[in-house]
Amino acid sequence: MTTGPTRAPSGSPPPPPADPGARLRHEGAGDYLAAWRERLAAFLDSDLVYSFLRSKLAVAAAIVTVLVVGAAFLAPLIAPHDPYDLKSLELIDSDKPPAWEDGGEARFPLGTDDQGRDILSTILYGTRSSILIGICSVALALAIGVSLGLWAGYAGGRADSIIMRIADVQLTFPAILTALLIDGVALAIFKNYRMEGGRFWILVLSIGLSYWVQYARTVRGVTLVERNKDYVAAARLIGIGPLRIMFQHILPNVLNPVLVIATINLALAIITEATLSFLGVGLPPTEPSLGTMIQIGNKYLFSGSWWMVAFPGLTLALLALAVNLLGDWLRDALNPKLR
Amino acid sequence: MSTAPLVEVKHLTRVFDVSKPWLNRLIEGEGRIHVQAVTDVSFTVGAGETLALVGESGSGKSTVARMVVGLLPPTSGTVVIAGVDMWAPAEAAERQKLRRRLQMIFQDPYASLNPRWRVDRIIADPIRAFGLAADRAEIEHRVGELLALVGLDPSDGRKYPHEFSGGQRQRICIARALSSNPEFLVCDEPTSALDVSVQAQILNLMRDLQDRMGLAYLLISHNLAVVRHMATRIGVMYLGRLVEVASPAALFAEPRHPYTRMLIDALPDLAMSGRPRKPIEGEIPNPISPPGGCAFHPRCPLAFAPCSAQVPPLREHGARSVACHAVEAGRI
Repeated sequence: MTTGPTRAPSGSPPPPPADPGARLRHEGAGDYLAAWRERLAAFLDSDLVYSFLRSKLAVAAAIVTVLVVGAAFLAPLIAPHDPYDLKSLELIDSDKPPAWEDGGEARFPLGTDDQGRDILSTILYGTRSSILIGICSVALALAIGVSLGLWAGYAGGRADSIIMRIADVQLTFPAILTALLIDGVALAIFKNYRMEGGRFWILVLSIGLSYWVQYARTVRGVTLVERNKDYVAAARLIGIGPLRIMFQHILPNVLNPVLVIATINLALAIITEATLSFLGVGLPPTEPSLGTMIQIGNKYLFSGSWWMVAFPGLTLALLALAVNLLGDWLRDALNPKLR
Repeated sequence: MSTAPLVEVKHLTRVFDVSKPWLNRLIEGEGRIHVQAVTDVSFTVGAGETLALVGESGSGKSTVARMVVGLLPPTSGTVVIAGVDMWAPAEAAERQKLRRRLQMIFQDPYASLNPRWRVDRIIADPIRAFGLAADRAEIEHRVGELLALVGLDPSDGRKYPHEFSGGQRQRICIARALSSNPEFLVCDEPTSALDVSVQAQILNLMRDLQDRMGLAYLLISHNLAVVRHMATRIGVMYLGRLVEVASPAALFAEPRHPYTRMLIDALPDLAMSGRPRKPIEGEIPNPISPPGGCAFHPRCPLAFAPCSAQVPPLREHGARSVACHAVEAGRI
């Protein structure tokens, strides 16, 4: 499926004007569609979907996740206010309680924060940032961890020792410490990156670098088993290079555990982002994430403005719980020993 | 073209380092430990011929197979296939050309097919790797042909390996091996993981393909019945060395090496001729510390003085080769 439909030797004459390949390419595209439709049908018919529909908890978690994620990504469409538009903020609107409390206004269903920002809108936008950072950092951790794990497991010997010792060292640093370190280094290099939107990527880098070890260890373990199987020998026999063996032959066989870790790590990454933002090295107050909102609200908690902390906190807890439950279900569903 | 045999293996030797890690050796004061898996094995396989290697577990049969196909570098010795040295530091293109001409069938059909790949992709892998087809349609056509050739339905290509039985999987392995139009197939115990009823089907398929395509086989087996059915010549291995090479007829009618005799005496006697069946005595020694001289002498009923002192060379005695002091001295 990966090699192209034609394998023309280099320096071959240009195709004749009639281009007999056009018909072939066209058929190839049709094949692709049919193949994907077939794959979808097979997926809907699979044990995984069956076990999902039978687990009420998993279905509930999926519904909550889809609702929260959907609302977050539709934020510009459904949010009553634009919390990033600082000009629209009125200090007179600040510290308003939720609409059902005394002094609340219908304009601000969940109240406002100390700058007069609508909490509901800020939560929607903030959740979007949190999820984006979560997904990007999980993708980064996945890419680093899977590549290094495959390399360590397949190459063995010295490469394996070096990669796994680096992983051990990485594991001794708590994620928060790694993130603070990277934030500090970034601050020293790009003096005012915090103002220039670089924070998003620094957060992704910090969280991604903190969580790659788990992927690397898992993938290495499975690769150690897979590389000695005869299908790998059959591929080596016909002269296929190590990179193609690792990524085309072995990788599909190590993806199940990786998928489970990625799901559970997504919740962890979102929480870590919130923690970092709470500590003040995350997203700035002008573009708050859930963690930033909790940090701001925390200051006003003892003056009775509980809504500034409670609603972002609840959203975070709900999202993390739902994603975690999904991950747990996936782990059990993909584990043949638990079936 | 010369009349040189298709495959020529000379003085093949492989030593494995099974030492503990460096730190353990340093603290426990132990030296390196080596295992002599294969020692000075030489043979040839002509086009269309089947050479079978038999021997107990640990006799080095599979190691020889892996060195011949190029999966494992030999410690010393050469493997020359169609005039190209497999392990010489030659051009990559030359080696890739050589790889197309030899293929391997593995022992365990459950581990030799990638469980996440569809069968058509598995079979097409060598075709793609060697660029043997111009486009997708041609690959598809060729895969269908190969599936039909090994007695499967061309539509089976859309399935995954787990949807097949052991025998069917071995057929898929054979189809994959044939997809690069090889001249030489190395079969490492191709039937030992299969049911007895399926074994015969696979062996008959292999013979049939050999007759049709003029394939040469190197057949590794511990099953003398399988070997008798398939081989042009049989090589008996003991502790990494070839001890006797002969045609099946000669070997079964009149085994010369005491070890070969032991193996053949232990075969179940289906003809019920009343021949006493002797169980095999003793076990294969530890290859880390093999006995000196002829490795078989501690188990040999005919051992005499030179056996524990000198390794007997493989010498031709008529149409066969035997490595035994007793045979040379005319004691048997």
